Amino acid sequence: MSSIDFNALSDFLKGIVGDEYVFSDEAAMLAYVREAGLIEGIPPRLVVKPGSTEEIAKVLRLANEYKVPVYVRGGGSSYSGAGICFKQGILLDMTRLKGIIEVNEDSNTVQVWAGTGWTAFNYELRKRGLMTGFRGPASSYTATVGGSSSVCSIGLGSAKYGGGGDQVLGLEVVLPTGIVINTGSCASERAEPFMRYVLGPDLTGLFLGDHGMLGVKTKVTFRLYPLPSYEEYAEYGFKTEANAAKAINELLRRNICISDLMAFEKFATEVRAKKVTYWQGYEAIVILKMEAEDKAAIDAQKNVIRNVLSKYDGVELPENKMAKTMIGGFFDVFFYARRDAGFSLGMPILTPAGKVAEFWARMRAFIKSVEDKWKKYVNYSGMVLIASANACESVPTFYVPWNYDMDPAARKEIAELWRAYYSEALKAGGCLCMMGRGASPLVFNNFSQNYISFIKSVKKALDPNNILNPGLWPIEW
Amino acid sequence: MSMSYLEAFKEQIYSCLRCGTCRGDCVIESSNVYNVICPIYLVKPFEAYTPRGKMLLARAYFDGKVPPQSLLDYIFMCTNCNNCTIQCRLTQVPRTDYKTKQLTEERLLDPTEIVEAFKAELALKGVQPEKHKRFAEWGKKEHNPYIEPHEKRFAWLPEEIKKKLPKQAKYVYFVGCTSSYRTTEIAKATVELFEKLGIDYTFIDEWCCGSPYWRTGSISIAQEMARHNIEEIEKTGAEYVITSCAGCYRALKVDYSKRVPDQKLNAKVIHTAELLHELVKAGKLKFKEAASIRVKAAFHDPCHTGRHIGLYDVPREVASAIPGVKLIEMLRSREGSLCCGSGGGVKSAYPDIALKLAEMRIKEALEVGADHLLSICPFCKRNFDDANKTLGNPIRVIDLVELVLNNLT
Repeated sequence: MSSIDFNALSDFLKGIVGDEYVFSDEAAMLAYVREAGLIEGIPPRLVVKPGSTEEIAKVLRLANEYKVPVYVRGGGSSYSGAGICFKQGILLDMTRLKGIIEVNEDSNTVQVWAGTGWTAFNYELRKRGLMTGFRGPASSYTATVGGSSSVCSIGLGSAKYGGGGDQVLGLEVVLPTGIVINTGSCASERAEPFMRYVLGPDLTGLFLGDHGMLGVKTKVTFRLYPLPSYEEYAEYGFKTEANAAKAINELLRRNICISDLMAFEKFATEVRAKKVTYWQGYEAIVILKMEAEDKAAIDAQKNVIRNVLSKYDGVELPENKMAKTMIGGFFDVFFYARRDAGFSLGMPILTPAGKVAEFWARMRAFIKSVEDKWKKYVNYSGMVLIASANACESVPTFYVPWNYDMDPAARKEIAELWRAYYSEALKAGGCLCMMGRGASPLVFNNFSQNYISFIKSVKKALDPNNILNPGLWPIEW
Repeated sequence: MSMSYLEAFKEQIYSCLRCGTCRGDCVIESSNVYNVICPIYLVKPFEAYTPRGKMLLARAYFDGKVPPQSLLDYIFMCTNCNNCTIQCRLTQVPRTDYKTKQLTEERLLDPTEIVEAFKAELALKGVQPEKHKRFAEWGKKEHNPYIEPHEKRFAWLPEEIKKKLPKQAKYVYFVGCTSSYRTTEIAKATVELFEKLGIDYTFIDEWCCGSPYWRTGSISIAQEMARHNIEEIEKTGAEYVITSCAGCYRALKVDYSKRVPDQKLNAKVIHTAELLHELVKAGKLKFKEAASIRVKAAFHDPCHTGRHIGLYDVPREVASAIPGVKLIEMLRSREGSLCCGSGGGVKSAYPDIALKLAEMRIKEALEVGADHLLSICPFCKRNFDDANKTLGNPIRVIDLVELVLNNLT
């Protein structure tokens, strides 16, 4: 690796993307060593901001020639250790590739550049009275469309429309060798991007959630919906967590007009009920947002919701201000931590909807088993659930002291605790969508050898020189 | 004695979530406003130029991983626009209604202040852009950053006015260096307006307010200037210090009490826009009649009156009261306003960057159909004038005082 002439490489790259989009100053590279989590990478040698698919293809072909690693970065807001470098190489910053390419109302689709930020994307669609269903992860002020597709994040609109991958109909991907392919209907050179499951196997799915290991997404096609004309928020209290979980499961199974559903487990409810007095007396709380074309539809479905919830002794609460704040202000609320809580290191864990109560209980038992260390470092205020189609994402409010990074010993212990917590979550049958360098070794521990070999073979086939994001997943060769 | 301006912010720096909202290019959902947030990132689209990146550079600096000299451009290329602080996820908790939200005094993280401290830290080590070093040296002798002689500060003021100025008055008109030496038309219009309205005012032996020095890391020079000005203002027994400059306004109103706490400025600090607002409310400004719209003005919020102080409605209400003036909002407005590009010493050390941003802002005004770009800051005006020239003068750049004066009966 030391034989790579980065000065010569920089000149070649400038020839591809233009002088102003290649950055190599040593001091400035230190601004790229961390994303939002606790994993630290090494400074890139070069940062490149490509402006087209063709430029990316050329960059990757050059990287193969030089056998130099390329790390792909979207908004840089992940907290599982992605979008940073682990070997000396090039950081491919995708944020120059932004904007809507085409809104196609004939096919109800929108094609967008992968470096587009979610809130800017939502804004442009909203101006046209449109939306994408899934409307971005909690970090949407920074997160890009390409990033959320690479992680398959859960977020706004997920209860009805699923996560970051569920609404994707096709991709344009630059393979690690620099070959450009289109998936879905666009695999045909004569078809528009309108359908995912045609023309053979679902190769779109191969790249969704790949964390950029298998290719660089350049264009993403989403299904389009009209903006709903009516929305309403509601909150429900449950005497037991188990009943709340059953009610959530049934609501999701019914596939009604709930666009967003969140829930608070026992401890999360208790902590918040100190301030939100109308939550007092309940073990678990469910809050939701309903969306529909007209008010009558919401009213009709509200009755269905009431019937389902009453089966499990769910009580409609007199206020809905928490739902309005937490769901209505989703992007505002989530990604910044509360002043009194600390720095959030919580990654979401996915489980089947019907298993959440069991999962929560197990994670509470784990916390109890490491109570001393836990209390020393973690300001924990429970689990917050976000529904995603037929699954539930539980986000632990894993708050650590703001200044934890200032104390290396504390940081080490917190990292160990964090790993132990997520190992336990995986052992309990939970799944992670975030699989950066911090989380991927834990996830791979739960894969069978056959599956690991399979992933490795796919990676080798697509990326023979292992230049794309090496070190992000434990599949080196 | 070792001294560190940055050390005081160490805990804040380590508290940064690195969520990247400060970098921007997003739409703030609660307001539905498109916001670039960091203007420098618009023209230098790399992390090291963003507040989030600067926090990581500060950590590298604490760890001794990076020599101070190599940080020069990344730290000094900041316009002090305060948008990062306004939008930082850690500065407003909980985030409430966009329009009515109150900024808390005690912030968990204030990137603007941190960058300012970083500049001071580097300046202490002799690391400062050459232009800043030069105007710091000049400021010590001649009390202004424009490399102009102090004795010429009031050269723009007509002799007949100079002769009749009282020693004591209700208002001290604090002109500021930019209006005194460069955009003198604002100072002249302000004085003409005061004369026309019979305002009881005077001047002091004015030194630079200190703002350019605080914003570029020359702290002790700024403090010396503040001390001098406070002393001079107090001598006049004035009830008000009035200024037509956004930078002076923030310095006099915020920095003097915060950074020179042992020397109290008793006079109330107001912007000329606030005086005009009072006069409009009292029906004391008589405007010419207008049968139709003659001026379509896009209002540009200067960072130092807007995001630093919150003076948004006052200038708009004054301009709206003028018959024939139609106010137009640009896409990026109020809290989300795009900085003109000149603040924080960027105009002097990085003129190309400042010009590029001003050109963008003029284009934003043109996009919404404005024929005037209206503001309340001579420093913004100067930068806009420069950009307007390079664009072939597609718009008229005007200060609120000039607009009011032109339309009085």
